[in-house]
Amino acid sequence: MKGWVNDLALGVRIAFGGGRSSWRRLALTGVSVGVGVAVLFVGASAPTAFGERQARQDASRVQPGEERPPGVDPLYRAYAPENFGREEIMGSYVWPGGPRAPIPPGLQRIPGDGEIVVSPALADLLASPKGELLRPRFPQRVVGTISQEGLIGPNHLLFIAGDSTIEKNDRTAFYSFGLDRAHPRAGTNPWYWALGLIGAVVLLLPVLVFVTIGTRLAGPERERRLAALRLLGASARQVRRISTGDALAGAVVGLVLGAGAFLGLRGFVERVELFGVSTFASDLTPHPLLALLVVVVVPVLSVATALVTMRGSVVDPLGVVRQSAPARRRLWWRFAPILAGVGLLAVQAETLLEHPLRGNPELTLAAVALLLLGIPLVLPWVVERSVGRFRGGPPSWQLAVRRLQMDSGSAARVVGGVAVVLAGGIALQTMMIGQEAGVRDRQLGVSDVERNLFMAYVPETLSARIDAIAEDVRATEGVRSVVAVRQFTVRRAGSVTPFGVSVGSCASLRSIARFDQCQDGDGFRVRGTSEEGPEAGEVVDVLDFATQVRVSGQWTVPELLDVEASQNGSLYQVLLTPGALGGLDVTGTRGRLEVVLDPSVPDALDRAITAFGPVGRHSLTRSFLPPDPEDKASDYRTLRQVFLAGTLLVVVLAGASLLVLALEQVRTRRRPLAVLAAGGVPRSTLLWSLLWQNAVPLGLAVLVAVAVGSGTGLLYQRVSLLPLGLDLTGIGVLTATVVGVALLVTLCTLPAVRRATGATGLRAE
Amino acid sequence: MTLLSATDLHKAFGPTPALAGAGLSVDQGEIVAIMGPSGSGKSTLLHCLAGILTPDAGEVHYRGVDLGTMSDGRRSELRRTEFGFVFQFGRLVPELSCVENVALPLRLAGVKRRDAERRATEWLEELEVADVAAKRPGETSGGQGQRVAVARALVTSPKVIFADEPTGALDSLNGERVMTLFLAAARATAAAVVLVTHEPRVAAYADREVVVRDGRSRLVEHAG
Repeated sequence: MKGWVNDLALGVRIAFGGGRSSWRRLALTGVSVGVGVAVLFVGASAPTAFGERQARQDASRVQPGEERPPGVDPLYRAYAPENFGREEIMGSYVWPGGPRAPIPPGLQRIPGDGEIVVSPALADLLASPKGELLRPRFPQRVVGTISQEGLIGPNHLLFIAGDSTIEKNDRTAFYSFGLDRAHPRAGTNPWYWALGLIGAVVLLLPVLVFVTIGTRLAGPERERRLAALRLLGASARQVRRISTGDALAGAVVGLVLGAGAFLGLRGFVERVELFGVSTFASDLTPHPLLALLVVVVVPVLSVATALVTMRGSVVDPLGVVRQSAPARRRLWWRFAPILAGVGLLAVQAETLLEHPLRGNPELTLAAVALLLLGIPLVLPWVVERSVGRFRGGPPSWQLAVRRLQMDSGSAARVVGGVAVVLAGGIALQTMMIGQEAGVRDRQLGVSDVERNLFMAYVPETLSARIDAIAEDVRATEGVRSVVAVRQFTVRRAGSVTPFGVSVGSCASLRSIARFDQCQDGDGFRVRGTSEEGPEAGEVVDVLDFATQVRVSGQWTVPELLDVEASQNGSLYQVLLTPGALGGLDVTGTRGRLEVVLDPSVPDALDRAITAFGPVGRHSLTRSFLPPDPEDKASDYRTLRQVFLAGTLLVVVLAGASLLVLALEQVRTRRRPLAVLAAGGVPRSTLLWSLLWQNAVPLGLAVLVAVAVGSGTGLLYQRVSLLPLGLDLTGIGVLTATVVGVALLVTLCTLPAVRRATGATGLRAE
Repeated sequence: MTLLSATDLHKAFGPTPALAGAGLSVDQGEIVAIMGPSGSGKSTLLHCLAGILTPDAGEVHYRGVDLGTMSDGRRSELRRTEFGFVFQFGRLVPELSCVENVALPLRLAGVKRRDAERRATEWLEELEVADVAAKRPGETSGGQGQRVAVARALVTSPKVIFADEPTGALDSLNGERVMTLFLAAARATAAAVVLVTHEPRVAAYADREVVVRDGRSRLVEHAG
């Protein structure tokens, strides 16, 4: 045992104490492994980041219909999200019903009338030139900043304003903050989890591949050193143990560098927003178990890789020799995961094709994971077999192909990692295309008017001013038309069915229903509504539109003319001009404003909301223009954004890995390169050869990735009953990115090639 | 007729001077040996003569043209078309087969692969290593590899061949064989040879010996 420890310690000592070349080799391995470790730590922080984010989101939510607990005063709250350009601003107006009203998370106290607290991101936006159009919407005095407990991320745009005029009833009263997680979110689709799992596999697998590549770097130097140890009398077994110590040293240096890089990254993370997602530094904390896993797996992987690399070699005192010619890669086990994946799909093929919804999500999910896992295993074989068939071409091509024919392993491993990311990216992109096509299909039923329609409900407290507000909005640039109506409901005595009544000017009513003649005092009944409306002369009860509570005495229905609904008027039942009310007082009823925007005016929506003034603050405003934040698609969008950010990270990591490999290759082939240059071989030929060496495996990887990624995406579309289609632009962009990385890596090797082709490379002594 | 000449060459690597006033001339078809102990600057002189290194001071003329006035690309072209090189250990491209190694300078000159490999095979036969044509350099002996390297240097019919310790890694028997074949081929093509060696036995093949003495500073010329 002591001998083992001594050998391992010797390996570590050699790794650290071998002079400049040792340090260089250690640094190379350390940086390469370290980059992978940093990414793994980011991955290990994902559950914490999402968990904390979700926890804060839940803690800020309120549950409607809550019963009043003893000793707690209500907090009245009007939810008032805003759209500003492409930004979604969340927020609410609140007013305490007593001193013991609950305080929203992230606040020290409930803001008073005319006071507002904003998130730091919203404060920045308001202070920026971009926020000029937004500032009039928040005329209140800013009295504080919402702290982290009340925000889901550093870029969360949120406000909470105090307003004594908001509706105060059971519907708006809340007694506590925090969502009861005993009731999980409904409709968790297993396919949604499939996307998440594919994302995790796709992002983390390449990182592990890159860690093994980092361990294999500087192999010849390591072998020379081990041969020297044999010359001094070390046995073959001892050499293996020493090699293990050496690999461990590299892994530990990588872990330390990776942890350092991760901590450094944390310092900047709040300033980084990738595809709309940002996170607090404190959220980026690795889950303890996952962190432990990284700390254990990386050294184990490094040692295993070092030992596997030595498997086919004999370390002799005079050098390291391979026991035989490199064995051809065996096919069967490399294809096993892919075959297993195809098999799992095949057993349910008939179901998936005939009755997609009856497919087994778990089986399909496992099949997709196996297909993706199979890529890095199959790719070295594909690359080896393909380059083995290449013949002819210019000298640069010949040099590259011959090099790959000799050893394509390392390059194939790197591009294997890239291919998984690419396949996952294409798969996800294809899935999203299906999802978006589904949404598009659903939106086909939405008319142009509805698409550009913006609505606001005016509360009872402000409904007296509805016509004045409508005038202000009508005068705003980008507004085509404004409909302003007051609304209440009526009910026949003894009936439970309410009928909606809308009161407005002839101009407003004309956009709801089709009629030729209209003057004050006229009333209309819209045909085609679900129930037959009230008849003229009928005596009905008048109810509040929202609460259905009786608000006034009985009212006699005036003469009504039957009319057809216009395009967006089918929701209305009875339409009245003010003169038809017959003295009924409706100033305290809720108002409704409908604004049709001109889509050709870019800021039309923002201008209209600003023109609404206080109405916009108090009402739930909805528009078909920006994406609905509550829409299910936003979940997919977030996932895609996170995945895109991860893909970018992994592609950069792959680029770094390829660069390290390319530099290592230039260094070990310094002499042949110098001789070629001395013989007059143009540097461009050598650079082209390096480019081909990167581009050929990458090209093959792209082919495999496109096939697997598109297949997986189409499968998802099929089982989700979505329209089939490929995102050719997306595939093109992802592919171009990878090709760009190959080009960039080759360009980055230019200084090294210049140095290698100098005369010093020719010196023998 | 003087083919290549160098006058008053100075070259330093950082603070270490390698050449300090060296000079040399080579006539067409002449074999010149540059001798001297290790570290004396012989290889540096050869690299300057071949346009691989640019001297800090002094001039190198090839057929009357100063190499210092040529661009890097033009010097590369010159080395590709007019010069040939043989280095210690052969320094072949390990990924290419021996015949591909020999054919490479022709391919770079635009000769079709089939023609280039045919001419390469002829040179391999000339140097008695046709049997290793399809092998990679790593699969040949030191002597075979060096003869392949000589074939590569001769295949473009260069006017000057620069050989840096061409037998330095070979035993005397193999070294003698390589030198005999190399110089016979060079004479047959009327190529001049600049031969760097520290072995008098190898220098004896040359028409003239040039000795770099006192490490870096003085050049002494002897009639061979």
